[in-house]
Amino acid sequence: MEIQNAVKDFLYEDHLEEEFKGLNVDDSLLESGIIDSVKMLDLIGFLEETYKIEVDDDDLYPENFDTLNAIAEYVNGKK
Amino acid sequence: MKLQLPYRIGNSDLSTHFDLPWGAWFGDGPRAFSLPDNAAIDVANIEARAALSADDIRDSLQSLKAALAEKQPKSAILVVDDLTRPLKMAPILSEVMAVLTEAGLTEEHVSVLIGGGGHRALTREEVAMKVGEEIVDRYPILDHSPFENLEEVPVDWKGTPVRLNRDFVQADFRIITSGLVPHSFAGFSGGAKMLFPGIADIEIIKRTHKSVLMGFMGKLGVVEGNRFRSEIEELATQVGVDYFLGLVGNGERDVVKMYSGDLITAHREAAEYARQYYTCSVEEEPYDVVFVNAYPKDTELLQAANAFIPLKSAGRPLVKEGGVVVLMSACSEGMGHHELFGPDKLLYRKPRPLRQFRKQELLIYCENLTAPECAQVFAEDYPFFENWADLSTLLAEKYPDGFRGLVFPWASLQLVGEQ
Repeated sequence: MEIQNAVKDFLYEDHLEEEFKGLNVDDSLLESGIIDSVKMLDLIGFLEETYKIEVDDDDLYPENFDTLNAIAEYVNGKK
Repeated sequence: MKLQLPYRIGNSDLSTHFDLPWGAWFGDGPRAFSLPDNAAIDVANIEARAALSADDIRDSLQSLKAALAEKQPKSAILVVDDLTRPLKMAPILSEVMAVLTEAGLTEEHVSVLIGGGGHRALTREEVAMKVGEEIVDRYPILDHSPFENLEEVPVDWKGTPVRLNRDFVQADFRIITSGLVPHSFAGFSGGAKMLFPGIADIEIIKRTHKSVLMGFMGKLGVVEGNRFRSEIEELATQVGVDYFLGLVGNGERDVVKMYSGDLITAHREAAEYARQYYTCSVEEEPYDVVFVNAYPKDTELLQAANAFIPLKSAGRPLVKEGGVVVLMSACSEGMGHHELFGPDKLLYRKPRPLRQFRKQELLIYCENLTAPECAQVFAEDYPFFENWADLSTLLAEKYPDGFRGLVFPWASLQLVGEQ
């Protein structure tokens, strides 16, 4: 759960406290209002820098980034 | 009522006044607005161009005759967009039906499918507004639902099965018609977008919208190289579209240009025409106040953000820091309906302040709505006005010595840049 927790910490903002309450690792981050297009750019930068991976344009699909588990799986697959 | 172009603007002793197009499909007429008399207002116009004549339309449909002669279909379906899209389709469809009839495809062999994606179904009267009474009287009208009457097609979108409207899939000859207006993610609307999400199932619609909401695809006004469009065009090609009509409208919502034939080629041509036609240049120096009128996409609040298109496309600030953007929309149908974005729907989220207006004030003027309804789509921090005089008074107080203002009468169509 290390990646999931790191991503969760990165995405957390005070005004999103309600959205993070009870957030499950398989919940949609988009549907819960935690990420949008601007936040996605920040998240990709964070993943590339922290895990020393390169996120290809061809990988930019909700399936890879819409939940904490999906992000962890994606990062592990790129390592 | 016929709209007069260019829109009136002038100063009297008491006020500066301008007329705006207002209430597409529902009322459709010029609406007068007044501002303090010391306001200096520029208007970004769309050139008045004549609607296509019946002869022009018939000429453009020669290739349809050829396509029908070659395929000899037993049935045909025409996919048409809904009232959230501005073009009046009756003159075009009337000629298309004449060509189909000539080819032996009469009323019992032809149907019209409203491809509204996640939008609501239309009433008979509303369909008649879009396609004309004659078509509604003579032909079966089908309203696409993303939840039923679907059939899987032998393609997939990166692993997601694709289900489309069953009547479309089963038709011998598939015709897509669509108007082109600037679109924040697909570059321009229409084309393959009439299939994805227009007549797709809710899973595909969800996938489409999630991708764009997460910023993965597409850009306003750019069709060539647009990843979202490339993907849906590839899918549409695999599914099969027999004939495409790409239509561009004027400020009165009449079709002024039509490209027909191949889905991708004709859409590219229409997009280039639309890009040039809808692009205007405005003064370099940012204005104090910019008025963006959502017409002709002013039927509902859920479409009102399309009025920001000139500001997004400019690539530079059109409004000074500390200045004001006034969003205006008739919202003839009030809030509107969307299966994903509407309140309580899957991708709905409580609105937050918009990043693009961190350095400006946003004022919202909408009719047929209340402030609490507006706050379901735009953050409640933004002042809401249902009375224009109140908004004008606020501007007079903020700018006691007057202000420079810029009006976009057809903001949901208007791009800012070099033609």
